[in-house]
Amino acid sequence: MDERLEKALEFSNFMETHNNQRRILLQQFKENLVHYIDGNKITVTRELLSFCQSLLALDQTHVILIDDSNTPFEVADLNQFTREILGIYTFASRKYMYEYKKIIKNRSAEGLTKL
Amino acid sequence: MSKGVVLFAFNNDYIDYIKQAVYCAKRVKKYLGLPVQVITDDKNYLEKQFPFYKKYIDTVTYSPSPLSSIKIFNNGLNESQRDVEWKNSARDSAYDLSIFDKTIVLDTDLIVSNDKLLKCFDTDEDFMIAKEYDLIHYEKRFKDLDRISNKSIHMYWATIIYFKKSNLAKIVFDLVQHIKENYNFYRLSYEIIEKKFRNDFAFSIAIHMMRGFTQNTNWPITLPTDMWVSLDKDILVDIKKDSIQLLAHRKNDYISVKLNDANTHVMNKFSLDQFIDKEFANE
Repeated sequence: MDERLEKALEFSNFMETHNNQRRILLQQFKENLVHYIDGNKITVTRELLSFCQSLLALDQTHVILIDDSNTPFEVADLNQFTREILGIYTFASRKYMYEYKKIIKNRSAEGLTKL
Repeated sequence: MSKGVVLFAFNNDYIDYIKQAVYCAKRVKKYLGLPVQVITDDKNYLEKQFPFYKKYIDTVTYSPSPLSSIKIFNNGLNESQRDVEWKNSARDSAYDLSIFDKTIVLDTDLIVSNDKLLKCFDTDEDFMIAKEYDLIHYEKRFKDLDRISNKSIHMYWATIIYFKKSNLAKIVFDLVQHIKENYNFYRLSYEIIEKKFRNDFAFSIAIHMMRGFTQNTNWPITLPTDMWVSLDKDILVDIKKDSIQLLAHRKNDYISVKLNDANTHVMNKFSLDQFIDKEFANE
């Protein structure tokens, strides 16, 4: 095979593997943001975090939220809930960053998926 | 309330589901720390071939082998393809046979690699089943993994089921049993082309019926876990702790994939079998 073509295909294979591993990490990050509270499934977002922080700043102690299935539920202890979801966001994003750093260090398809 | 995991294992001439069950139980112990009940028709084989099984399996329950059907299993892209006798129709008996109040039923080819399934026990739900999944390679999307047929309803995966002993869960399992007994009628009603009985289809139909014959209701809620799917044309290369390396098939070749902390459904039973042999060499 022409060496120029061989090198390009090698890089192409690396990029495909790289993109797939990035996709997996992003998907896992999204899954790690899912939180269950009293049978309600919610996805922790920066918007939700800011909303809860705003209510706390206004001395609110409880709130009604809408879960991922559009069902309303009551959060009786807003302070505790906000701490919980902040913990979830922090864990998920740190894990994402940690794994992402490992990916960008590797410059070969083999290195990206080695156990 | 007692909690545990139930695994069904009925061997055929080519695939050793009992071996898979022992390996699955080993990972359940490690990541979920739950007792495991295996339901099988061949306890003698389990005891003879895997004398160490009691380290991982707490209870073995006899159940006669269910009726079999023929299914094609691939072993990667270029390896052999086999028509195999498939005995997978006993899942509807999980409700009656489970010794636990709260049960997670798993396929034996699910590689448990995190503790997310424990969140099931924190919910008030009576019944949950897997619906969302991720394929290990993004290029692929298979309509038949999303719906039970092109023009029909959403597919739910009997690969992971959670239930609490309750009236509602009993109704689901009884309905699945009824669908199984009248499968041809339901198969035609739901425009399923495939003739063989599949648990996934029966549960999907049961859920659709119990939702009031609609697709968009809040019941059953999504299982609080991930499920990554590797198809039978993919190859399992290795597993080290919570990391899995696979080769995902493309058109004519493979791409290497690594998953960390991911519950992974490995459909290539032959490569899973080879890996477990290696793993059990030191037991």
